[in-house]
Amino acid sequence: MPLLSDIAGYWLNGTMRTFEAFGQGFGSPATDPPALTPYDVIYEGGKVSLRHYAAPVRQHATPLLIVYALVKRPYILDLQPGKSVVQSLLAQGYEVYLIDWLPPNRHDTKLGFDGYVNEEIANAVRAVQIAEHVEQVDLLGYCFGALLALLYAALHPANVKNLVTLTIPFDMSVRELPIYNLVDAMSDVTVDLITRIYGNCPAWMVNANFLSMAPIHHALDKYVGLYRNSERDGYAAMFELFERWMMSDVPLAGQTFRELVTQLFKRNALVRGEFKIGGETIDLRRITCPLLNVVAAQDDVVHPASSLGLPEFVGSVDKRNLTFPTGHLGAVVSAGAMTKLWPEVGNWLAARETPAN
Amino acid sequence: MKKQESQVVQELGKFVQAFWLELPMAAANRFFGNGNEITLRKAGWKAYDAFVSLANEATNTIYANPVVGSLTGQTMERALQIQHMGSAAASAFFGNLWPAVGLPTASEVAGLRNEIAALHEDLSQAVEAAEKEEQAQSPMLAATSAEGLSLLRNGYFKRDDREDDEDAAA
Repeated sequence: MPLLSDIAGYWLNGTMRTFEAFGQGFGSPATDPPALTPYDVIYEGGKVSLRHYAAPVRQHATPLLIVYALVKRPYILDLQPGKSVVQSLLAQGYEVYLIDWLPPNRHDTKLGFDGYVNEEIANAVRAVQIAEHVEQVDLLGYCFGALLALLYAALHPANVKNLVTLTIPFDMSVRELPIYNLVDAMSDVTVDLITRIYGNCPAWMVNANFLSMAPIHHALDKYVGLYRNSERDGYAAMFELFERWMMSDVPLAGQTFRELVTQLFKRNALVRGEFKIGGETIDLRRITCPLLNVVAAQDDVVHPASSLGLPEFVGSVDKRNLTFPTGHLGAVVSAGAMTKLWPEVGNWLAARETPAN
Repeated sequence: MKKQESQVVQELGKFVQAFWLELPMAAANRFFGNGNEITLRKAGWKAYDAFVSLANEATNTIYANPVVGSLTGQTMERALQIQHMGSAAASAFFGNLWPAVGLPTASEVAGLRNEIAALHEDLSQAVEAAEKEEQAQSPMLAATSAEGLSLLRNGYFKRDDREDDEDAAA
């Protein structure tokens, strides 16, 4: 029975990969695969390693800063030729900068949203402003990174020319995805215990949360999928790379984890206008720059209903939702996203851009 | 919750149809020579896909159940409390046990390491200072520096050469 033995072999490999990830502490910059697109690190400080990808032919004056999520490593945005958001944007003439978050260690347990937004992103934006001799940057945030970019834009609106939020977890009262009911059941005492015992929310816990979103897929179906697609060119290589990324979780800084669960997730403080950063209440109406809110219609990590309401809350006149028929990861790796979504995002930015001299 | 349950029922219906009706039908057709391998394989994968959809919906229904949520939350909290108490007890126990049996504590080891590192630094500084002093006293060694070069120009080499000649004559 080659079918069963093959699937069993794939499953065994997957299990070994999980054990290895446990052994080495999941994701770290050291375990990243070789970079697909060459880049220079132009600034490194605090928890930020700021990458610069130079456009082969620059067509736009304003640089684009990608704020990646705090969970998992950022190489998903530059995975393979033809499956790279970075390469798509470079080909459209954008000068791309990317925040590669350095994983928090035991000294970073007090690092909360204030530190990430008002210090880390603020420093990265300043570095781009200095490197490019510009006053404003375009911000593009992915998932949790979109939330951070939104908060930065609300607190420092003068520095942001255009804002693109991709699959943003905004309205946390949405409970369309059943897994969220389990997170709801996590009491404040539990959150407190996690940060007291571990300091930060450990990477294995973040990983377990992702795996439990689709347990059947991760336990069985993805291996069966690999068997069914084993004849397809490049599928196995892509699968390996993707699985490696799935195990690249990094810890979430203790204070950030606490604020995320207790304030944002359970109390929906941002939407209710009660979320404070560094003592300042976030007022999303302060965002007046153009906003493109990209929503993945089949998103099973951040439900579309959680993202769709964002434009109503910002003060911008030029704002819109762009719903694309794909999943949470499909938005950054699928062939459809590369041929349709990213050119559309590029065109939206270009229409609000100054051509480069 | 009701929505979840109705979806499970819907998926169950699809699974029953694919697994108990279509798959045996395709197998029978293949057995009696009416169907081919491809049709049978397609029916098999259809039954598998129906099973996965059913399993996913069943999992979602379990997640959506408030009792399951509450139990999970309580279990997690209890497990963490036990872990917290365990680590506190362990640190209290070993914290007292280590000095009692004459073993150093972690902080003492760390302090010792720092002290050794400081001693290393002191030693390297002392060696460096001694070398400098030695260089200053010896014109030959000092010849590597600018000061040494001026000494050479002032005839120290010649004097040494003279001394060598005198030794040879003697």
